[in-house]
Amino acid sequence: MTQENVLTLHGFRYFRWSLLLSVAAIVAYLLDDPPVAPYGGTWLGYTLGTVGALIIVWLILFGARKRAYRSNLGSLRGWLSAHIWLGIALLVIGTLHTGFQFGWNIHTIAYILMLLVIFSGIWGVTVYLRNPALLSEMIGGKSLQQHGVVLAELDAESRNLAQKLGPDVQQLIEASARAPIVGGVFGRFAAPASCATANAVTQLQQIGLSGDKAIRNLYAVQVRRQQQLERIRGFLRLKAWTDLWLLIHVPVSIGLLATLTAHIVSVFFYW
Amino acid sequence: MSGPTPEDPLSQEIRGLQRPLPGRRLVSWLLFLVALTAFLLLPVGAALFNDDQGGMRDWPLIGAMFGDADRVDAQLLGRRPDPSVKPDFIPRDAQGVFALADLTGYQATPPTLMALDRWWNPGPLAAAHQPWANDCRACHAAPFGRVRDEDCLACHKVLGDHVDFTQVKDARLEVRCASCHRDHKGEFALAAQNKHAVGRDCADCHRDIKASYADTQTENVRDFVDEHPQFRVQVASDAAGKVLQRVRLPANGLLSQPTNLKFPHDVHMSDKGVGSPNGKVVMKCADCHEANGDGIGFRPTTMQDHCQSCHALKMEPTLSNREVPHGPVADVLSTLREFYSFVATTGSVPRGPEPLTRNIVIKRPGEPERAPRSFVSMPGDGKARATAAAIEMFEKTSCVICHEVKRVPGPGKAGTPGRDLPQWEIAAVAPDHAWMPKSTFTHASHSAATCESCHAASKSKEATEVLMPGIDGCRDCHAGTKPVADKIVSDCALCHGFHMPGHTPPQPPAKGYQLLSGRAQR
Repeated sequence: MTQENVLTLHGFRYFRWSLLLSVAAIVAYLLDDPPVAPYGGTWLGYTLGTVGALIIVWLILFGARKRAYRSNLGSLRGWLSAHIWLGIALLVIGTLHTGFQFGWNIHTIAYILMLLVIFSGIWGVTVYLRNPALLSEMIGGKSLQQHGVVLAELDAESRNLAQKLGPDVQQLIEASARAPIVGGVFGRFAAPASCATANAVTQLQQIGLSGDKAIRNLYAVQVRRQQQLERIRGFLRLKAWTDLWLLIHVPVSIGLLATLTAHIVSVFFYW
Repeated sequence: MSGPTPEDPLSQEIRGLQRPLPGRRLVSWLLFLVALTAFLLLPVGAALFNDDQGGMRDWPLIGAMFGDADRVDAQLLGRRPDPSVKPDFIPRDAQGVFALADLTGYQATPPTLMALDRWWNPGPLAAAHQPWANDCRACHAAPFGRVRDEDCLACHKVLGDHVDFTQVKDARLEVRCASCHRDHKGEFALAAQNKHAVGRDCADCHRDIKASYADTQTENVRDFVDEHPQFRVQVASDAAGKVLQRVRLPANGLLSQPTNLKFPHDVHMSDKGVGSPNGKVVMKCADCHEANGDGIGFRPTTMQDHCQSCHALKMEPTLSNREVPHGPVADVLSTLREFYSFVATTGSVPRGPEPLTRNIVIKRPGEPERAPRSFVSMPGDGKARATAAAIEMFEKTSCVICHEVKRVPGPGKAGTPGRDLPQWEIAAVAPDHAWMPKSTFTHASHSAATCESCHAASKSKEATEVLMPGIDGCRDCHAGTKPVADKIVSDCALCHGFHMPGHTPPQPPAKGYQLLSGRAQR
């Protein structure tokens, strides 16, 4: 038996509940025969809307539960599993609530925001399941901190070796050691246009052709530094691109909360 | 070995990299505030605000909450219907028409400030309501209150109730306008709703109508196919035709009403043709029954337009095209009197402007065929010849062919030349009236079918036979509310209206008729 993950938790407990909810909503929608056409204002429409709104509020409360580290209200893993599956059930319930009537208005805007939140969530689940390392934030079994220690050790070794060499080489090594790993938010998403360590490697390779053993040693250390950097940068790029879903998922869900409030108030304001 | 110290920029950067991407909180707040302002705060504020008065006078309740109670002014009370009036007891004027506020009041309503509430519009209004598309408050008169019937009826003044609420109390009928009519469903949605959605609940009462209303003349109806009584056809009850009754079609489909007209459809519609000045002609229904342009009914059939080209009223068919007028008896007799006086005094026959056309030899059933008689050269003066010609026309060849003709004592109308001739009385032909006034039927929608498929005219021998079809023919194509393969789903409202006085097609009964609604024999 494969290991239980956040989707299969407790033998698909939350999947089964969500499936039951979705199937019940679909059956009710198919059996319902409203006088004019299905939409949010029929009895079934009000019911689905109420259930959907309650689900949305509960899903947003996950953000609070996530931060409540001392909470005993169910395991966080259980909450996440239920969060995912109820969010997918919301796709069914919210869509049936619309009765497939869309337009340029806040009601459809609220629906679109809901879709954005749900699909960004599905994206997030997918990337974390495909790259479990991203969850543990480990690169090759080591933490980012440990990789930083390795970089610092390589820099100390490089400085040591460079002491016997000329100031030109010392400058190269210092620039290589001082350059940031990515530098800024956008650096997390793309490889840098220039890299001081890569520059040092290229320069040392050219100087090293003359045959000095100290240069060749220094060259070898800088190559290891470059490999180490690229491993860290690759990980950070992957992490940045996968974390982008949260930049959509969370703010849009907060925007949805405001739009949902406006949606509910407006339909009863002009009942 | 020396690890990175806390001051080390490398460890600082790594610590920063371990934090999630920035901006989540900022973007969250931004989205929340923008959505809340644009979609809730601005629309609500605009809806509560009147830019022309700077107050809340439209909504006394809200106005009072905001300390604006003094602004509830006479203009408001004059413009809006009295909210204390219950929807099912709406005041009416003497004609039974809802007497409510004037439409012009609504046109003066200021739209919501900058139409900021337009984001709330859930869908396009019906085409007829679009002048108010930017003025939500024209219909949504009070916040957090449903659309009130008064606000619908302020414009829709001429609607009638389904039943007389002074006679009948039934909770099921105390519905709101919006129980059936749901706007914001598209430009043409209300019209479609009126045909298909409205009326789905009719059977709630009508499946056992006598349980609700013991005095009703209506039979139980559940569905057009499963349980719907035979049609009732409105007929005039006697030859004088003063009283209209709705009579249920008998099982054999044969129903008659006195018409005072002799018209055999079968003779005229014979597929071998019927005699005309140009020989045999095969006639079509539309030769006499011309669509009147509203898609529902037909133009009146008249002697001049539809009969006279064959049934010419010639005085001397073998010698002249001159005809007597199709009109009052005095006019006919005077024309004859003048014609034969001219013949007697001048010895010549006025021929008329056209070349002589062939006359149709008219033979009444049982009579031998004979040539038309001439009175030009008979002995006697003009009066004697006119008398003979009048007897011939009234009693043998012309009037009597179609009309009930009765000889009456003279003298005739004073001051007319024909006053000294024998006199006749022609029974008035029963006027047109609606045949099925409680339903709508558009002939235009059924133009793919032949007339004969519903109206068995080619077998009808008498004008008294009512040629209205029964329900069975309709059921060949129309299913009930449940879909049936190859048939048309037909809800009650496809043929029937709910608001009684307004639902008949524009075919008011002719003058002199008195409607005797629902008092027909069964």
